[in-house]
Amino acid sequence: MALALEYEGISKEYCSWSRRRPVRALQQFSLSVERGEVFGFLGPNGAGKSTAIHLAMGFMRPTSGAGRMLAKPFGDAGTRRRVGFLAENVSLYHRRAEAAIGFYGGLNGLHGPALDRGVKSALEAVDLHSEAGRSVSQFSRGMLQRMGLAQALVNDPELLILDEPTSALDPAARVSIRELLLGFRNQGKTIFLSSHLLSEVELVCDRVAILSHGRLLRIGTLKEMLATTGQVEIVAHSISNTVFTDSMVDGERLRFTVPIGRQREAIERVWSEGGEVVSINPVRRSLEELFLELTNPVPNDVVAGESGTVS
Amino acid sequence: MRPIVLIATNFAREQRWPLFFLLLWVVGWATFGIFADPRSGPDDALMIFRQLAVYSVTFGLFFGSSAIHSDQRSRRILAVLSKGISRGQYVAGLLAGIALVLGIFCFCMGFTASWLLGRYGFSESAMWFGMLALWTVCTLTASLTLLLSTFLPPLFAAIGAGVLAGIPALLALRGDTFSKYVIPVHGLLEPLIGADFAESWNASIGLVLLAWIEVAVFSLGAAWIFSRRDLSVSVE
Repeated sequence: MALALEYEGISKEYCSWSRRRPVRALQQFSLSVERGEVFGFLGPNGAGKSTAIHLAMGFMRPTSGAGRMLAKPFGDAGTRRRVGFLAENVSLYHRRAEAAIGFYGGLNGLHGPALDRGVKSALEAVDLHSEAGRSVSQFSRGMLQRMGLAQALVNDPELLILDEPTSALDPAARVSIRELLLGFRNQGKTIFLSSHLLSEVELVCDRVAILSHGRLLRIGTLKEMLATTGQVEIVAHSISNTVFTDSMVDGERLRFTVPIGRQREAIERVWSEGGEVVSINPVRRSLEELFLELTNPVPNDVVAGESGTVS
Repeated sequence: MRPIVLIATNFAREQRWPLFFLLLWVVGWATFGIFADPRSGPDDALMIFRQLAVYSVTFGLFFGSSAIHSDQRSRRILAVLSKGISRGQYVAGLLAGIALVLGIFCFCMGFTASWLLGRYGFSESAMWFGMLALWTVCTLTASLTLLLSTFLPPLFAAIGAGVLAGIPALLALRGDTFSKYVIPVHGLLEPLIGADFAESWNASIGLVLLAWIEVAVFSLGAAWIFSRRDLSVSVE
């Protein structure tokens, strides 16, 4: 089965008359998104996420490399009819909500009863059906964001490309959008989700890519990415807290972390001190920790100092 | 075709306030016609008519220069171009929208002129042909400005279009006969501006047709350039 989205060694440089040197937004960027998966696209501001998305939508052309969306080269107008796109800081024409969604549906080739159905279901999906007669100009930021999502959904897309879809939403709306996205995944739709809300991505996405300075730093399933800290947490009891530095006393228990390579040594030390090992668990990072680690590398000595050491 | 119509009607809707103010001039002109002094009325009415003709061309210039840029500045262009339409359809839709807005204005102006100037002896059929010529000039100016706005900032696009349309006019004034066929803004506008009650208008149908061909060429050029340029949107 063809991929939903495919970047092949894409580089993008921005040139302007005023700048001497071009700005490199993407460098040899390669990525594949399979059909039916929810893919999280992460990176700090200026990492090149929006550039990558705009390239896929055909808003700009790569300096080198190529890409395909739903098996067609980037920028193919016919393919965009099968795609729903929500831009960051969405901005829509000031019309009645129903008319605005109808306008965007019409641009996607919908008309007649199919358009009416699309408009109705899109507004219902984002819980704006009761506001269908109100002008978009009177909407709050959160409602506008939901309108943006509705215009992306009007054509019942196979692939949804969402740039910060929940950035302006309150927690309740965020949960409903998350449920909506999970519902789309269950329907077999592909979702390409760029977000700063890492907890959101962690809850929704099957795979994640982390981008920084135009380069892809890491890609994989959340399970793979979050399980590889190289540390284990050991909980022991009947042992003095002076045996392991950087340990934490938790009631009668002692809790400390050691590198995986030194766990045997640490366990033997617990036993030799007359203690008993209660549990040994690999330390799972949160996506936030991984994100910060990859995008803001900390000097090695600081990282080493954070892990438990056997004295 | 449907996306072009949708974009055109949407553009006309977005420009309803500028159109409204343009139409206020026409209403003002009609009001003037009701209360005008019968002795000086014909000449004054004709002078206002000339002013309105120039305003409509100027509005064509500004609509053309700002159509793409205002959509980019507001980021609304992202939602439009993310749909299944080509850049060419988008440009054609904008130009059709400009033509629609200015067409409404020219029609209202023609309607008022047929009543007001008709009272003073103007030929109604010649006047409506003059309105067609005026609408053509407006659309031609807008298409040229739209073409320039695909690679220039709005102000420069407007100035550039003014210069490009003005050069043939200057050459024509110096006696060059061929230059009126190159961007025939002057060739079409001059009979309107210079019209008086003694002389009937003599706008050429050939020039009108030539102007529409040039509108098509400029639109294709605008679509070709715009589809090869990166979309630059403002960052909020």
